[in-house]
Formats: sequence, structure tokens, C-alpha cells
Amino acid sequence: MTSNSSIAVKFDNVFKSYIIKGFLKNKTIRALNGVSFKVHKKEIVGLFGLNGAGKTTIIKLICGLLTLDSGAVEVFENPINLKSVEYKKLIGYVPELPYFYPFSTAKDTLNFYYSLSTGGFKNNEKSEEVLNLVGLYQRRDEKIKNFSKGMMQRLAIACSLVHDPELLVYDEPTSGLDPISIREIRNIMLSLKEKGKTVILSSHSISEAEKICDRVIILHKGEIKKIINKEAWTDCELEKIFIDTVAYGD
Amino acid sequence: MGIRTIKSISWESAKESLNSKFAYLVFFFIMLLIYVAILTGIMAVNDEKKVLSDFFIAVTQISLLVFGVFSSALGVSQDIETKRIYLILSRPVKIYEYVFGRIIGVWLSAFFILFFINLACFMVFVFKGYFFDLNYFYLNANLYFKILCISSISMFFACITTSSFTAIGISVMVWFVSHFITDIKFAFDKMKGSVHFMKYIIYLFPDFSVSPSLYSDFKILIYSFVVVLFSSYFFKKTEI
Repeated sequence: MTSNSSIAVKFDNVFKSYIIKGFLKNKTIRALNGVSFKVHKKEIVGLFGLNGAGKTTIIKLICGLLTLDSGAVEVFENPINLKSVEYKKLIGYVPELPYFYPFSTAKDTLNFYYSLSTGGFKNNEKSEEVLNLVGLYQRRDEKIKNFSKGMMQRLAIACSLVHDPELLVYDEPTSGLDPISIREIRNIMLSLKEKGKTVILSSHSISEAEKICDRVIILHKGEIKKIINKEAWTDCELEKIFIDTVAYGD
Repeated sequence: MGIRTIKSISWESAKESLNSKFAYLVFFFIMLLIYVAILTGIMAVNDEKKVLSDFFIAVTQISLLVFGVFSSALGVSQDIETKRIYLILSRPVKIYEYVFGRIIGVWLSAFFILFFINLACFMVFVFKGYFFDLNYFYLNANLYFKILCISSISMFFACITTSSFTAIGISVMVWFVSHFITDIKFAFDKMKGSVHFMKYIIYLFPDFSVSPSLYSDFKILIYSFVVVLFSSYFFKKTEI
């Protein structure tokens, strides 16, 4: 399913609108307006933009949770559509504010998501290995209702890793976390890169992006305004580039 | 069809339904009604067995109806509200596998509740020195098929409207209408003129008004299966 090509994700002139149903009249909101970009294998790419810029829409399109209006999206050269789901084995996704069934344990939750990715099979060893990686091994048999927000986020990352995917898609993984949890999640992402995984990350934290991203895509009102390589920014400069791009983006 | 995937989702769904506060409330309600049934039975003196049987059937019917309708409507809409559905559908899971898994989970938990009520009733009967009538089991089996059907309808409306309140409201209305299908058909047959065509709408409803039989149960089962298929189809079209 993975290809020899160096491209992990490809967006080609993608348009996406949402229809908001009204009492008398429906309203159409354009979320993506001709977006094109490529993400190479083994790189960490950050998606940046103000609220409503289209970051989460891009992430949902990659994960096959939405349909396109027009254009094409490919993940490891597999065209994305609602009919094919096999390519999803290659993706590990963490939504913003993940929710897990509170009466389940961390290990059972991982086994459940592992079984969904592998067609119903369970693997206790793999679940424990991933829990160890995210630092939840000691609490593997504890009910999730006792978990803090940071632990929930780490569990979500564990769920995204349990089936050993090639591409990891994280939607604001450090949102609302304390500095120590943020650092732990950053270290997990860097270790994933060392293992050869591709990471796409949506975030509001520019300082985080500076530390881990190889490239940053700046979105504004559904359009890509700039794609910046790591070499192009030094400390604090990314914030300036971002503000200049977004403020004068209109 | 990914049977193993459906099994995983249904097992998780059943665990969730039975562990919810709502299920605890239903269990409490069942125990309370069984206690009331025992008291009423004592007051019935010579007809105690009949009163107990009727009361237990009523308890089973109300409890399972409330549980089935609420669990299937809330299950899907909670998954959407909490965005847990994204975690599930970002895996290689097809929409129909998710919908079937969810509804089978509700059916499993409804079966568990039915078993629990029957066990409690059986113990009361044995304690009172009565024997279970075979008809009582037939009625329970027929009731279970009706619950399968109404929970499927509840899920159908939850899938197309993504609102649990709408789904619960419509399902309860369908439940009542379906118990008067024979009468409604008779009334429509007597009507003339432009309203006559409305009698065909009634064929969209399941028929709970006929006497319990294997054939009627089979029809209800097929109806439920078709409703779940339609739920999957419409849910696929819904942008979540």
C-alpha cells in the first residue's frame, strides 16, 4: 500500500465547502479554496492559521472523514474517497480534545482501536509497548475517567500509534496542556520522526512549531499563503512571518 | 462484511450502554416495578399469578422500550458530539460496519436486560410457588423482536437528523402507531377520495398489532435489518 515515491500526502487544487442549513435558506461556507501542497515522507509539517483557516478540514480530508468538492487528495499515492478505507491503516489520527469511553481502561481502549485497524484482532503486547512509549504503562489497568487531560492526550497519541502507521495526523495535540505535558508530547513526536514516521501537525503554538517542524504551511481563509522551510526561520522569526502573512493576507 | 470489526464495535457499544447512568436508572426502575408487582399480586388474592405475569410483561415492555430507544439514539449522537466518531472512522472502518456494530451492541444489551428481568421474575414465581407459562416466553420473544425494530428506527432517525431528541420523539410515536396498524388500515380502507392514497404510507410502519407468531417476528426482523441498511446509507451522506 505504501509506495516508493517520496511523497506521503498530496493535495491538488482542493476545494471544500460546508453547507449550513438555515430555516429558509442554506448558507455555503468555503473552507478550502484551491489548496495544493505536498508532504514528504519522514518530515514533520505544521499547519498554521487563525481559527477557521481550514487546518482541521485538511486533516479531516486526509483521514477520509469528509468528501471533497473538487480536486484530489492522495495519501501514499492512494486516492482518498469514502469508498476505500484500506489506506487508513497507514494513518494515525489524534483529534482536538479526544474523548474515550470513561469506564474502559487504557489497555482495553488501545486493544479496541488496534482491533479496528487490524480487522478485529487484539494485541496486548503491542498495546503495552505503546503505553510504555507514552508513559502510561503503570496506569494501563486504570479506568479512563480518572485520567487528567494530559494523560487523555497521551492515550490518544498511543491510540494513533498502536497499529504502527506511517503517517501521523495530529490536530492541536498540545492544546490546553501544561508545559511539562507539552514537552513530553513534543519529545514523542521527535522520537516518531527518528523512527521514520511522517507527522502532520495542526497547532496554534508557533514556539512548538519552531522546535519540531521541518516545514510550516500558513493558511488563511482557506488558502495557502506561504510554505516555509526550517532554514528560513530563526528563533522568533516564524512568529513575525506568520503575523505578517496573516495580517496582510487579505 | 467485516464481521470482526462489527463484533469489536458492538461489544464496546454493549459495554457502554450497560455501564451508562441511564442503564443504572433502568435497572433501578425495574427493581422498583417488580417490588410493586409483588405487592399488587398479594392484593389480587386469587388472581395473583395472572396479575404478576401481566405486570412483569408490562415492566419488561416499558423498560426495554425506554432502554432501546434511548441507547440507540444517544449512542450515535454522543459519538458525534464528543467527536469519538472521528477516532473510529479514521480507522479502516466502513460506515455500515459502524452502524451495524452500534445497533448490535444495543440489541445485545437489551437482551441482557431482558434476561435480567426474566431471571428476577422467575425467582419471584418460584418463590411464590408458581410455574412459568410457555406463553410468557413467547410474549417475551415477540417483545424482544419489537425492541430490535424500534431501536433500529431510533438509530435511523439519529443517523439522519444527528439529534437524539428528534430520534427519541419520532421512535416513540412510531411505537404507538405501529400497535394500531390493523385499525388504521381498516379506517383508511373506509375513506374515499384524495386521502385514500394515504393508506400506503402506513405500509412504511412496522406492524406490531398482529398476534405474535414466528412469521410476524421474522417480518419484524427483516424490517429491522432493512432500517439499519438505510441508516448506513443515509449516515454516509451526512457530513459529520
